[in-house]
Amino acid sequence: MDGRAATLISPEDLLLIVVAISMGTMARILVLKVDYKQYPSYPNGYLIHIVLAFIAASIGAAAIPAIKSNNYTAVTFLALAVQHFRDVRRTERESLKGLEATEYTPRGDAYIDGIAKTFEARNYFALVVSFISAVSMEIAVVFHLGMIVQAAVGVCVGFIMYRIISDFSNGKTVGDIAQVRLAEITVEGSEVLVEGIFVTNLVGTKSAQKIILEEGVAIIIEPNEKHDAIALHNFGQRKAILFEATRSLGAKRYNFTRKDYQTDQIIILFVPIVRDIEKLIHVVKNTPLLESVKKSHAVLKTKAKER
Amino acid sequence: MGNEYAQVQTSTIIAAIVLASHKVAGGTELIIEAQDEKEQEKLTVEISKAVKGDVVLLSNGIYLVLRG
Repeated sequence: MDGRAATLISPEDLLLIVVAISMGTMARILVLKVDYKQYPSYPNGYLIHIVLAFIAASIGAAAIPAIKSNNYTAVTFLALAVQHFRDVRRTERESLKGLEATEYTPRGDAYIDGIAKTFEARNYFALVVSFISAVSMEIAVVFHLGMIVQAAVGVCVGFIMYRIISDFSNGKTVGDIAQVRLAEITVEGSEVLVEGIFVTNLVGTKSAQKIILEEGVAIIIEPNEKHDAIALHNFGQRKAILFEATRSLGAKRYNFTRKDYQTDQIIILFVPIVRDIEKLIHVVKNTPLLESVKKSHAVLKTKAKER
Repeated sequence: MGNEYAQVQTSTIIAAIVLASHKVAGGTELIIEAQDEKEQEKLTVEISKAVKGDVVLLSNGIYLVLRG
């Protein structure tokens, strides 16, 4: 029985696969916890993504033993994995789009695209961590290190890789490029103004004006730099901010965003179910800056010289 | 920009609630003439509730019920 097992897989390879899969899956679980605010926020979502991470980590872990056994065609599994992860992105996108009509305010296509891309990337995350962990353990084998040391090397290198990719893929948030503060709402006739800036005139009835004045909340987002306004004024970005705000506090009625061209400020106004200003500001500050709207200020600088 | 329901903001006028003093040309929208301002406001609220619409009060006193 022992002899048969040895011909199938050596203890070193078994250890390598187990440690690498564990590291890859753990890496995915850790980023899933970091992104608690984002979808998924329910148990089944967690299960789906952990199982997918396990599969991704398995592919990464099995690549080294496959190459060692001269089974080079097994590496084509990686190509299959890429195809599979693209399907994950497509499925996420379709799933989130299907939920659009049921939300207080829609996420918007840009936000959905960002979330779907993140989920695809997170599977590569598990694959890369597991693969690098496996490579490091194989190097430890070459140096004739003991099995415990091999495992320790795999865990350490896997963790370092996790930190590197985690830092690399961490995007900016609204709070990084702008100041967020509560603002005063006033109603003049049938016009709603926030600190003197016109927001809407869709509150023609007295009951609508009363609810806006008594229960409405408005926040102003002021970009730190002029060029930060390019991202904040983007329609998709504003939709994402409004979505996060209304999802956290609920929305009884009315939700508006407005951009002020003169001051570059963004105004978010809605009537929440739960009035928790601190939470609202926290949520808006932590809304991710969408990849599709992010611009590099350095790249935007023109290379043409003035004469 | 009004409610953020789409990239292209499209609101449709559902109804115009007017007084006898207003002169409104006929169109495809529903035009209701109220007896007085009190009834005008009441009718506006009733229609906006029914169609879940937003209300705009024009400076000449005409109420428009819009739906995005």
